[in-house]
Amino acid sequence: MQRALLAGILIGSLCAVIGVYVVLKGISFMGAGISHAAFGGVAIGFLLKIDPVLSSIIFCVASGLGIAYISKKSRIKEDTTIGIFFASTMALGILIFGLLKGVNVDLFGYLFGNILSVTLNDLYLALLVEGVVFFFVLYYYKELLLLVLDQEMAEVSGIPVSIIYYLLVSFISLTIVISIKVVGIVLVSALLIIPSAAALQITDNFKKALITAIVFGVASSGGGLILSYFLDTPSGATIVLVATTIFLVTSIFSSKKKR
Amino acid sequence: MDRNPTNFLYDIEFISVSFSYPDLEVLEDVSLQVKKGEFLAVIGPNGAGKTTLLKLILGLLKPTSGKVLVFGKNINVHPSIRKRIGYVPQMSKIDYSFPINVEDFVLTGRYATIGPGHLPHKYDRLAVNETLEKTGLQSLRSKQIGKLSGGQRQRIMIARALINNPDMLILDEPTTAVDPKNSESLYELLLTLHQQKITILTVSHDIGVIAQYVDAIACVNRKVFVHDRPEKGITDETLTEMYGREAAFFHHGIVPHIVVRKSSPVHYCAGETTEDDENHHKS
Repeated sequence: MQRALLAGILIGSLCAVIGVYVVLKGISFMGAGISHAAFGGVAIGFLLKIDPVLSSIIFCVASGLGIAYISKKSRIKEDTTIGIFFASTMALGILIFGLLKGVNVDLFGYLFGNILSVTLNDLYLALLVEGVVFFFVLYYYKELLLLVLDQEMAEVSGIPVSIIYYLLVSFISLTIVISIKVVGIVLVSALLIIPSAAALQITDNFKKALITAIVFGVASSGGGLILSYFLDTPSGATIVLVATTIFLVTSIFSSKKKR
Repeated sequence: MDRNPTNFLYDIEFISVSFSYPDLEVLEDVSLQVKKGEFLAVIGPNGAGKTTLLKLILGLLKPTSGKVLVFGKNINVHPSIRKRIGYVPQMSKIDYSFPINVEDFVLTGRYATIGPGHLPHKYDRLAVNETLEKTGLQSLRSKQIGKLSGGQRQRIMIARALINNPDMLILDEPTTAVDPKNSESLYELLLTLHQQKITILTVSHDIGVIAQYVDAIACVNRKVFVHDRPEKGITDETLTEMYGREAAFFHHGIVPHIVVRKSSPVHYCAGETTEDDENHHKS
């Protein structure tokens, strides 16, 4: 339980920070697309007999960058590109698992999360990603802000927009992969979006939005895990529902404030 | 303090520039010169290449053929030029629900010069104060940008563009979604900047109003035609001169239209001609 809680806190804060950029940049659907690509990544891991976490990292980062690159270079709209990746990577995963009939895989765990499957190595990996992402967000704080606020202005003023955007997409992918064991492929994009969206409802300062999102993210994952432990409910779903409750409360609060 | 070396003639120079997308030619053999301190309006119908023209100046696009020189240099080879250009994008490109106040918004104009990994300096904050004062925005400094009126939203965009004390200001349709009174005060502000010898290039839809302020008007429609400022603003006579024989100026709705008879071999400018307009004009 301790390990699970620690993983939950790490993932909750990480998703919240990345989520603020995802929500403000309007690329929530990309989160959903990348998380479903993880299913293909996991399947490839089993097929090649390598660690499914490693194979999903490679597969998800490649899918994320692929989505970003194709939408930039071709005429296909971003949501169309994501729609194609979303379904085809999932189909690839299903196909591979179909071929690997003999293998005993906890598919349900990958799809909906299984906090008991979190290993010590997963925890170390989460810590590493957390460190890298926080460094990235702090070092490029101004550049990332301008990128989500006004991308054209960022380009005009000479900020290396493409590189920073591709880095952001890579970190979105990494965040998603390491969160999958806790909340599952189907629900991970919710953890990315809901705490950040809740924070953005009640703050009008970017720094405060980041900090509030972290508080909400940790409250959702920590609170959700504790609740699921005592109520004996699935961890991923409980976490997401706690986050949704926070979102509903902030919505009521923000609509009162506006009046 | 003269930051301009004098070894170039024009602040902006297009030397037979063409730009095309794989299946669409947007600009064809454009030559354009903008002198230092000149105030130029760029007009033309939607899709005529106005935005492409701006993007070429800003270095966001590279010409298919020809050369674009800004302060005598290629902006993609000399990125330091960017600091000397203030850019005001279309208001619609900004999400005004973004959690940022006026002061911090204006400061974003300095982000590129502060550089990654650094916090804004005291003198960056001073520059913000100075710019807010210049644009009359001090009282709004801690307001979230979504709580501003249309005119104020436009002003913060200009303030952000001015924060680096640029030698050139480039504006993309600055008066869209701004009421007439506020657009007038916006043009007055531009006029003040013009008197300070800042080179100004603005894409505009209010050709009727802008003519009173600018030195010259560039009509863009795949090709570019530059016209000196007409003495009495834009009249039917000047338009006839500009567009060919059968043109007339016509106010209709918010955007002034130019009605051109189909038979005349002219280029269209500022607003598309529709069947409806033409009939309207005849009656």
